[in-house]
Amino acid sequence: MKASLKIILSFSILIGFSAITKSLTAQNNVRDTGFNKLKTIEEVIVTTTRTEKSIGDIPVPIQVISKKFIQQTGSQKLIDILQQQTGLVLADNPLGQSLQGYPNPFGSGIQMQGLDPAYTLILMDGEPLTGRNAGILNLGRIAVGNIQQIEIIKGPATSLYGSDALAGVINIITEKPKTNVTAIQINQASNNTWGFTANQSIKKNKTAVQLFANRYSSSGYDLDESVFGKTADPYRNYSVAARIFHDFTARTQLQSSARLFTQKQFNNYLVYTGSQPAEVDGSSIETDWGFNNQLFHQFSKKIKLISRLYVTGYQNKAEVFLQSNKQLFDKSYMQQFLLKPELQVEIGEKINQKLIAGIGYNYETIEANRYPDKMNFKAFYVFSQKEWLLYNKLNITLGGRLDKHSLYNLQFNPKLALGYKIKPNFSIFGSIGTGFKAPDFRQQFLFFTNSLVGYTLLGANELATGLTQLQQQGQIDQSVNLAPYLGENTLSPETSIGINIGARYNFHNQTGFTINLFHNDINNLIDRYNLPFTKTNGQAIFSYVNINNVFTQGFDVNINHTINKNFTVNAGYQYLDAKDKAVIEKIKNAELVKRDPVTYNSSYVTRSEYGGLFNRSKHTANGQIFYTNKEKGWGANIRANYRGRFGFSDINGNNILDDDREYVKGYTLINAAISKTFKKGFELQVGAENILNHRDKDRLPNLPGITYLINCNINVQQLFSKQPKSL
Amino acid sequence: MTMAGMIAATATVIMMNSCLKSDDIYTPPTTYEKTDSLKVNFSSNSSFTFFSFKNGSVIANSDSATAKWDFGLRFTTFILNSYAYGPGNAGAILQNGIYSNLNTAPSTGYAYDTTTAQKAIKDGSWYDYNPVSHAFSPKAGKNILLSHSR
Repeated sequence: MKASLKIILSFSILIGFSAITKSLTAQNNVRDTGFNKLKTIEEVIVTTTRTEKSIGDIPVPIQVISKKFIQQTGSQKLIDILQQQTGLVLADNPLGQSLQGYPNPFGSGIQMQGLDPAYTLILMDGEPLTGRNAGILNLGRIAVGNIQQIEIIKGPATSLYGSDALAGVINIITEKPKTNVTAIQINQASNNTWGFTANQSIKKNKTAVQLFANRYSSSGYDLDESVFGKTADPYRNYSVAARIFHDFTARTQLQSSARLFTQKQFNNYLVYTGSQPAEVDGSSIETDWGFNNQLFHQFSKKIKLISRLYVTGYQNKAEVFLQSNKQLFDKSYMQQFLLKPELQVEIGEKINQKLIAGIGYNYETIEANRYPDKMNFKAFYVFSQKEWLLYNKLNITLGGRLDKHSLYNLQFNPKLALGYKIKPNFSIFGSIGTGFKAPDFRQQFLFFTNSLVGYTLLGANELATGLTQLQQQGQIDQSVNLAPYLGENTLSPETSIGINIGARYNFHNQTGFTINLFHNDINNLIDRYNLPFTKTNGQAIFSYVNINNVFTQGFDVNINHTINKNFTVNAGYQYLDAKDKAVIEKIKNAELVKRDPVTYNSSYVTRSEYGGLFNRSKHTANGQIFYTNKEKGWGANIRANYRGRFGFSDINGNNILDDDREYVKGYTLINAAISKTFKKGFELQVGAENILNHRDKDRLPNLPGITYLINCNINVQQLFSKQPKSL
Repeated sequence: MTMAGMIAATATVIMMNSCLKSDDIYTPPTTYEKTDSLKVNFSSNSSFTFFSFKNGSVIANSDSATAKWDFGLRFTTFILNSYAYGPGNAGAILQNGIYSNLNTAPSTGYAYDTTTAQKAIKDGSWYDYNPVSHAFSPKAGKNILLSHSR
């Protein structure tokens, strides 16, 4: 919605040609760290094998965020919880950037192993969420009040999950129904933020039901009074979810779930279309829903069949009106639908010896105001994974997946992972796998002409039609030969190879240590290019092409230590190096020039000046101290996150990061929370986030200053049950 | 929205000093120490700003049909006083390299605006455009060598 505003803001930036660069549409590596649950032998995860498995046996880097951790932070926002993990960094969409106190219009997401948010697949209960805006999924859509655990797998997971899982997978597992529990939470926080959450679990005979409802609202905040409108606009959202588990027989079980999210954001800003700015207001409405049905049937001890049917839809609609005459000024919409039936079979008795195989189909439609028609796509896939356990020590996992999509060539993505248990408390592991990311809708189908300036952006699939149309309309000179562009202009998927090597060590069940080295090579990255001729108005025509190759590499380490029954500490660190191979080559050949924005002197860029891809911090670190005293009912924690300096935008005319002035300085966020259980079933929690009050209105508009929160947690059954009096 | 309003709001000053160097292939090389700023219209529908190196100044639009000017600029579009745009013989080379290393203009190799679709300095060749921020920024290392129109 702020796009039109940004157009105008950017004009003022243009004056004087201060050089603003796009950040490269590229990836970095992020590492994941072992995190606060290293003694996790009891912890069961599902993402790596699509079947339940204990974490100690998994030969790939994995992090698990427990419900307990989420509760201890007191946070209501998934993105805040994720960015407290080693190697998960909050990153702006590389397509856009924050301008003059307004956040990036394309939003921000989680960068993993240095790869942009669009390269991490986000699943809910194993199924993908749709509705990405230029590759970024609004994580604000996901309420945290019914999350059981979050599983984060680093490294390519395409061999199981298909497109987008190049950096890895974040799988959000919602709560399973338990014995009758009624839980209520009331949250209040700075900026007039209110959250109301209710969870109800009912179990009767062979049926269990879990119900969840949440209302969350905030008045937003304003980091820059001199700019009209708020930095973050007010919004209000509702989430409801239900899960039903039913055992038909001892061998047959149904798991069904449904979710609905709807959010209304209230927009109010200035537009500059005439000689005077005009005020517009309106709203953006986002709706997301899904049905997830799974039927499990155990044919024999060795054979289990799972049939899944997943249906999901997403809608985004925005309208703003001129305040002066209430006329519609601008509107946009996007609507997406996905139907995904799948059949999976598991063969084998022992957990580390299983073979899984699956077959599935995707039917997807999308409709948006910048695309010419409603479009639909069909994709078909098969996958398989087999595990072997040799000498009780060596775990071998080999898997692969074939994807046939109606828009691009057949994709085959294999993955091999090896784990070796040197001692029961010491294991090493390594994996290599490939991944791919389908071109996004914008890169394929966009047909957009800027009405103010007059340039045209054409998606690759629209190129032939669009150019012909422009020439017929006289917008391209008749003398221009379009023939080379009239064939099929299809984009190939972006592809990657990822390697991870790591170790886990557990000392006296008290101290856990993990390390993981990673390297990702991403090829065929899609970028925008200029056509070699212009429109008759002198303006350029842009389209998309597979062109760039980048790599991300580095390592992460995690240590957790239990000091005594009251205190635990965690610490994590990631080192990251992410660069564009073409840039390195150009520097070597003395083809890359920079021009000082002050002196206007130009010179060649040297290798040591090249800072890699924008938006990546070489160093990130985190540390946490947790205190719990069960007897007295106290809990407290303090959590720190450091993000080292990272490239923000080009200022010297070469679109790469090679000048100290192009960086945002490193910063630390400190959060703390204290909780006290006053009575069984009644807990109060207070907390503060960003205690150092770090703010940067221009470059970190997503970060409000210090905020406070208070939570009231009630477990109705515990609170009202008759408790035995202590003697 | 009136176009006039928009033009007024967005008239822009382009710093040319780092990307332009002039030389004359018909007279002995002249050294220009001067750097100039030009005000040009920020719209592809408005008129060009014409510049003459000999005069060291902007030439009135009423002289657009003469050979008095060397190049014209409007928004991001460069035109030269040759063939399609004027009676002169102005040419240009878009030269990659370091500005301070370019001391002598070549005597040949100049391109001309032979047709409106075949311009010496193609739009998009000397700047980067960001479709999200809508910022146009000149590329470092792109130098425009111009020859006089007469």
